[in-house]
Amino acid sequence: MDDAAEIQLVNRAKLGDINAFETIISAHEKGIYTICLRMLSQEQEAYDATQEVCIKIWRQLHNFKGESKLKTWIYRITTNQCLDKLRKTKNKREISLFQTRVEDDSEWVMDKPSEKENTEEIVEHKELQEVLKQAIAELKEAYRMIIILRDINDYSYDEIAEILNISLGTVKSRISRARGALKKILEQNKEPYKSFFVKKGNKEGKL
Amino acid sequence: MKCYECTSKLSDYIDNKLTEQEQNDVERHLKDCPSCSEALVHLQYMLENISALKEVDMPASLHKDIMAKIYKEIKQEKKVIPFKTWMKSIASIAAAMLIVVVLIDASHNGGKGSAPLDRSKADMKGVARSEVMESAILSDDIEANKVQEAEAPMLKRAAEDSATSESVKDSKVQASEEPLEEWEITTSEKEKIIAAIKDYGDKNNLQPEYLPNEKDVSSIILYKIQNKDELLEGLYKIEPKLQITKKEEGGENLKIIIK
Repeated sequence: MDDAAEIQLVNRAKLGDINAFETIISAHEKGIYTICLRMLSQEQEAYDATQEVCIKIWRQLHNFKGESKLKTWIYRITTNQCLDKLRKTKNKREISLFQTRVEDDSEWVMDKPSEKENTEEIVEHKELQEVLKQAIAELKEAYRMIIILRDINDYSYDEIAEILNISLGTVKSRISRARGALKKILEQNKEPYKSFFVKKGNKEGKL
Repeated sequence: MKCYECTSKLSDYIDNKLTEQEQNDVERHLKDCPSCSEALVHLQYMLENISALKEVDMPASLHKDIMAKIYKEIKQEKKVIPFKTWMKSIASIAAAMLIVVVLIDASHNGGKGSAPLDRSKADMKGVARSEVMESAILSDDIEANKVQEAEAPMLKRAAEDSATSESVKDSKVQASEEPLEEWEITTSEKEKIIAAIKDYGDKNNLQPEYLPNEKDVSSIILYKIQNKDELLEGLYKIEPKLQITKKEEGGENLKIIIK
């Protein structure tokens, strides 16, 4: 969709043209869902969050003045919605942690089905992806968000600066730190991570 | 370059965000440092696999569910609309009533020429009156129409301003508060002075208003006069010993009373 066509669609949608709005949503819903899923880790939550984001876009479209690209504006709403949701679940989790006196927060993140035992039966890259997802879920929110935007969704540094409303310098240093943190998680000598980079060696060996 | 410096630059190196100098430094260090080279390979391997996470199967029902939510939202919006339209019609009725009151007021005050003058009203009435002088057929209704025409832009503006009574009042006050300067001239050359003011007015397209009428003038009003000094000079040329008393100096409209 080129810019002029997009502006036209936005203007029509602003006037209440539901078909125009549907075209806009069709172009971006997958991107929205991807961010939500990777950020929230759970399909049902991502499903709900995507709908909430789309309603927000509909409600706030009259505020969109075209100062930024529609895409960046939409993903700004998406990232904010995800962070909001995480904050709410975090509060809930903290309350339940307090009630059950579980002290190690990481247990919550690690509390995933332990199908990892049957590694040989799972297609290798599928498994790697699962490990990666888990590692990404362990990152703190700001790092997780920037990894999703940069390395999963392939946004440029400029776009990320606009979406997150931070300076280019901050984008650069945050990407570097987030990647470093993720690498550190994956390099841990414990399950499910300890074989992550070993597999790389095997793969290279096979090649 | 030290190892910690190199590893801190690897992310930027992968994304081509280093200066040429930095890039050369990093590459030189990587050649001689196996542990930093391994760090780079790990990072690249990690990023390769991350990008595969882009492949997400969006549930087929999601699009439909989104649109269903939007339709529901629109339905709710529509429920609110009748109230909004109701408010709007109340506002326009209020504005219309106010304008009627203003018009009645205008036609009752006609011809008194009291200061401060309402520019639009007086202007249009002045035209209407001279027409009445020339042709007895013109009736009061036409004069009322003229006033109405003068009010029309205001009415439109008021409607645009969501038709609140405040905005109607405001523009009314603004119109009547245009400053009016007053010169009281005592002259022995009354006819020449009047002719000179008339010439000046016509020349500058000021549409002078003659009170009480053009054939027996006791005062003249010039609206939006730009260069009063030029007019004054002209009058002194006719009568060097002309006596002038000025009031409310600096007004953009000028009333000249001639004795």
